[in-house]
Amino acid sequence: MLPDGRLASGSLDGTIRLWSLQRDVDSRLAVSSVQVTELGHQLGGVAALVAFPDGRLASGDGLCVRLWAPPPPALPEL
Amino acid sequence: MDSSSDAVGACASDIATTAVMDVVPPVVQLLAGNSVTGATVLACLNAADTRGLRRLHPAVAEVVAAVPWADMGTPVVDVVRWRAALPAAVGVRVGHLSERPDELAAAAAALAGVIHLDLRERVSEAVLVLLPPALRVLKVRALNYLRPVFGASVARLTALVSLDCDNWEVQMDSLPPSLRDLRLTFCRIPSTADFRHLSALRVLSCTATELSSAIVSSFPPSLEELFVGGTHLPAGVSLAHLPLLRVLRARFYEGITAVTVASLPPCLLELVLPGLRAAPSFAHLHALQKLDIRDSDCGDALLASLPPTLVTLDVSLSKKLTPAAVLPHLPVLTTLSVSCTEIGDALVASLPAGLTTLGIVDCRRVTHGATLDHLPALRELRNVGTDLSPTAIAACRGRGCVAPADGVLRGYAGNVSCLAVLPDGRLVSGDRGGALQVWDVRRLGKACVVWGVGSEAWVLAVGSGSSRPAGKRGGGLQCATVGRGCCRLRGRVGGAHSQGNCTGHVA
Repeated sequence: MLPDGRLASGSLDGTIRLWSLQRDVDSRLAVSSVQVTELGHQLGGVAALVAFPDGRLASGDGLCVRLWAPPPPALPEL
Repeated sequence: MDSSSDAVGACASDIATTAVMDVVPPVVQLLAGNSVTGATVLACLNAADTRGLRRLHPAVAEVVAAVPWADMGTPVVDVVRWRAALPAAVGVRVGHLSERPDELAAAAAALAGVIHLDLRERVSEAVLVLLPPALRVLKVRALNYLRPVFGASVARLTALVSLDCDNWEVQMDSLPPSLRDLRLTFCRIPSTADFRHLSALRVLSCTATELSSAIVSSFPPSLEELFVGGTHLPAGVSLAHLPLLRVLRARFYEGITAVTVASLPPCLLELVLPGLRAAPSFAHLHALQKLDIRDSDCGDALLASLPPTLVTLDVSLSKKLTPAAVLPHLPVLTTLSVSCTEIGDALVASLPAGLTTLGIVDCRRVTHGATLDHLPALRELRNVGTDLSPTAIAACRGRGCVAPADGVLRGYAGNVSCLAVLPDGRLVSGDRGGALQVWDVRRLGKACVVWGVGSEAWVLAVGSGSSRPAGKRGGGLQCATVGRGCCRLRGRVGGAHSQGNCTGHVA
């Protein structure tokens, strides 16, 4: 989880995505499918993913670790 | 009547109107009292929503019944009841059809008037004879993998313009000439098949099927879009008889050669040939806007000969590109991917000013010396795995470009399997080679390495105050102490007989 509340996911297809979460009517966290940011694509699957306190991410990709500085969340459309 | 009585009358009328308004809920007025708002709101709903709407008020049920519904997303399990509820519906996705003759006949009667029918939930050959004759769009998947014949029974569908067939043996001569869009997936096409009579066909998609030279040569000249995927085509097949072709997508098909590319019409707009094992010339394609030849034999010379009309280009994974590769004059190019190639600073310098999206992932020949200052329109940069300078990346971000990649940490003997962040911001990684490594990510430098006892690190957990990462190695829990400049293994804590696959917080 990023400090700004977004959820980061890494997939076997090599993609790293950020998901904007919103609370539903019961105040439970729900994934908003409309605000997904794809940070990047690796050749191999993402074996490990961790968030730094400053909002950056590190992902394990084969024989290296990649660092990411996610863009700020998009403002909601009016 | 004087003006005061007029006022009284108007007031009484308002009261009466208000009373009526109180009786009829606003939502009913919205849906059933105004043809514009009602139509607009109903257009946002699907057939499943109509159940509640019909119960809301008789007036709403009346409006709902008059809507020509064509909800293709909601599977209908009982078409007889569906038709009774939505008598004006013209489109339906059938989720279940009974094989019993009497029920099938009732379902066929219910489907009368349907022009858009989705039978993707698998049906038998017996259903084909019951299809409504006015059908314009049909999606149909065969019940089993025996590939039943899709033939004579559909010849009567003379209004059909779009057909999506999955898992049938398709007899081409039975298909109506009205077809404009034909998609064949896992279908068997007889070797004698002839497409010539489909003179209105604009879009043809063939996936996982076989097409001989004779069949390809029978494709009608009206064809504008052709997709082949997982399909056997004869090597070097010519498409010169398709003068109107605008789009060709052939995914990872080795039969496309320089001869095929040379036969393409100059009006082609989009060409997707990933895995192309040939070095054809694209120079004759004067209108080409999109070219995808990733993982191909594209080299420097081919790259330099690309037509200037390109808007989107993907040559990623093309191993024959070298650090000397440069782009030709591509004044309208906006999207480029050269990821995972050996291109270098020369290509970066040749990028056109209008570029908005650039992928140079794992282009290790792009160095600190490369600059992106000549790309003021760049809005998305994927540069992970390059040595682009932090200054160049920061300058891009300053111009409004999204550049998420922030560096790469290399130096692993085994695949990285787990990561954790220490309270001071340093990164700890574990790998399948059996090492825990601590990194100072601010300067992309390694702080220290803790070598384990030879087995793999699977999970990591960090103590909140003690800076102690714990790695699970081949059946044992081990702890290490991480200081500012050094780290050392403290010893095994857990059992040593089972593989661990969970993590937790070390207090």
